[in-house]
Amino acid sequence: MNYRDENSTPRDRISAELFFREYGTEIQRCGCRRDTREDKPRCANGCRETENRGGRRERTDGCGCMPRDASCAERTRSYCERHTNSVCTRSDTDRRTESRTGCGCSTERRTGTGCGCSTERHRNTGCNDRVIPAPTLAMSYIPMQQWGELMNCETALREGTLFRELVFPFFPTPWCQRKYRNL
Amino acid sequence: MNNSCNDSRYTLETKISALGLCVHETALFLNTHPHCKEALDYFRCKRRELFELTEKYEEKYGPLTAFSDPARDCWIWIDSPWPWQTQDMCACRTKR
Amino acid sequence: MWQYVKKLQYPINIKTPNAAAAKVIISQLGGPDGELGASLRYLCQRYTMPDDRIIGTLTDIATEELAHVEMVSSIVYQLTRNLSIEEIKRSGFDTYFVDHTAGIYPIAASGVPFRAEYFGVKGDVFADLSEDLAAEQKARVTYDNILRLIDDPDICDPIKFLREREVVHFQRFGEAMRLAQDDSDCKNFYGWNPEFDRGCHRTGNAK
Repeated sequence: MNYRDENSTPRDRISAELFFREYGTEIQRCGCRRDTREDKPRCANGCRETENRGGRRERTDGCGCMPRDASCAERTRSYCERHTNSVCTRSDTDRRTESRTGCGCSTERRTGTGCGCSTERHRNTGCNDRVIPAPTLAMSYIPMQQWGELMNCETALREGTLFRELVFPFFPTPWCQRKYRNL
Repeated sequence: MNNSCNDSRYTLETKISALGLCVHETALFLNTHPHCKEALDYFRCKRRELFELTEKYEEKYGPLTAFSDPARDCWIWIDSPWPWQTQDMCACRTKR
Repeated sequence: MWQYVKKLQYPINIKTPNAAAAKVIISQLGGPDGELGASLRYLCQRYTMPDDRIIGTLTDIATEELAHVEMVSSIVYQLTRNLSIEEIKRSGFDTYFVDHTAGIYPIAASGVPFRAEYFGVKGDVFADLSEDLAAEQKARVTYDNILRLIDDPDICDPIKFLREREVVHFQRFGEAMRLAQDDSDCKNFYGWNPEFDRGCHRTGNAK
C-alpha cells in the first residue's frame, strides 16, 4: 500500500485504488454514495461539514449540513424539522404511545410509520436527524436528545435528572410503586 | 449547633445541590450539543444563581472548596461536618 | 486537574444503621460495575479520543462518577456506624469487618477487591464507547437489584438518584457514539481506528 506524502486524515492514508476495488466508488467524507471525487461544496455560511450537494437523496431542501452559526439560513432547512413539519408528530404530548407517528427511534420505525433510524425516516417525514442517510449494519445508534422539557431544580434533584424525557423509573418493589404513585 | 441552624444549613445545601445538578446536566448536554443556544442561555442563568447561593452559604458556614476564602481568622476548611457525616454526628476533632 | 467540593451531589442522611445493606451496596463502590471502575474507565479512555466533544463527555462523566464514589462510600459509612458485635455477626458483615473494621474499602459484595480488569481501555473509539454504554447499563441493573433488596427510604432515595444518573450517562455516551459515527465513513465504520490512524501516528509504509 503506498501512502501519499502528505497524509493528514486516515482517508488520505488509505489507498484509493484498494478502496475503489473494495467498494466500487471513490473515498467519500460523509459516506454517501457518490461517483465523483470532487469536494462537496460547503454551505455559503460556513457549515462545518461538507455534505451531499442538495442534501440527502430524499431531501429537496437544505444542504443537510449542521452549520456552526445558528443564524445560518441553511439551518432552518437543514435542522430537524420535526417540530414544525405537520406530518411529524414527535412534539405531541404523549411520545411513548404506539400511535405516535413522528420521528425518533421507537417501535414505530419497524412498521415504517415513523421516522427513526431507518430508511423509512427519509421517505415519510423528511426528518433530518443529522445522521447517516441509512443505518449501516453492525453499529449501535442512540438518538440525539433535543433541548426540550425541563423540570425545576428541586424536582430535578429528586428525580435525578433535569430532563423529564430521561426519567425511567424502576417499578418492581412495593416501595418504588408507592413512591411513584405519589408523584 | 442547634437543630434550626442545622436545618437551615441543610436546606441551603440541598438548594445548592439542586442548582448544581441543573448546571452539571446542562454542561453534559452541551458537551454533545455545543451549539445549542437555549442550553447555553440556561447554563449561564443557572450558573449565576448557583454562584450567588454558594457565596451566601460560604459566608455563613465556611468554604465549599479549598480555594475559597475562609473569611475567618483560622483555616476552617478542615472543620466538620464533612459530607459523609450526618447532621447529628459532628466529629469536632479539631480543637480551637 | 480536579477540585473537590465539600458537599455530596445528593444529600444522604441514613438514620438506621444496617450492616446487611452495607454488604450489598458496597458492590457499587468496588464491584465489577461500580462507580470506581466507571470513573477510572472514562478517565483512561479520554486521552486518545479523536473528538473534543467525546473527550469533554468522558471527562465530565468521570468526574461525576468520582462524586458517586463518595456517595456510595458515604452510604456504607453511615450504614456501618455504631454497630454492635452481635449485629456484625448476624448480618454477615463479619467477614468484611475482620479485615477492614468499619473502614471503607473498595470491594465487591462477593468479597473480591476492586481490580483493574473490571474495566477496559481498547484505544478504539467505537469499542470504548460501546463498553461505556454497556457499563452504564450494568450499573443501572446493579442499582435495580439493590432497590429490590432494600426497603429503607433513606437508602433508596440516593440509590434511585444514582440509578437515574446511569440512564442519563447512557444517553450521553450514545450521543458521543453518534458524533463519532458522523465523523467516520458510514459505509465502513471499522476501516481504520480514528484514535490511532491519525497524522501524528503515521506508520509509514506498513503493509
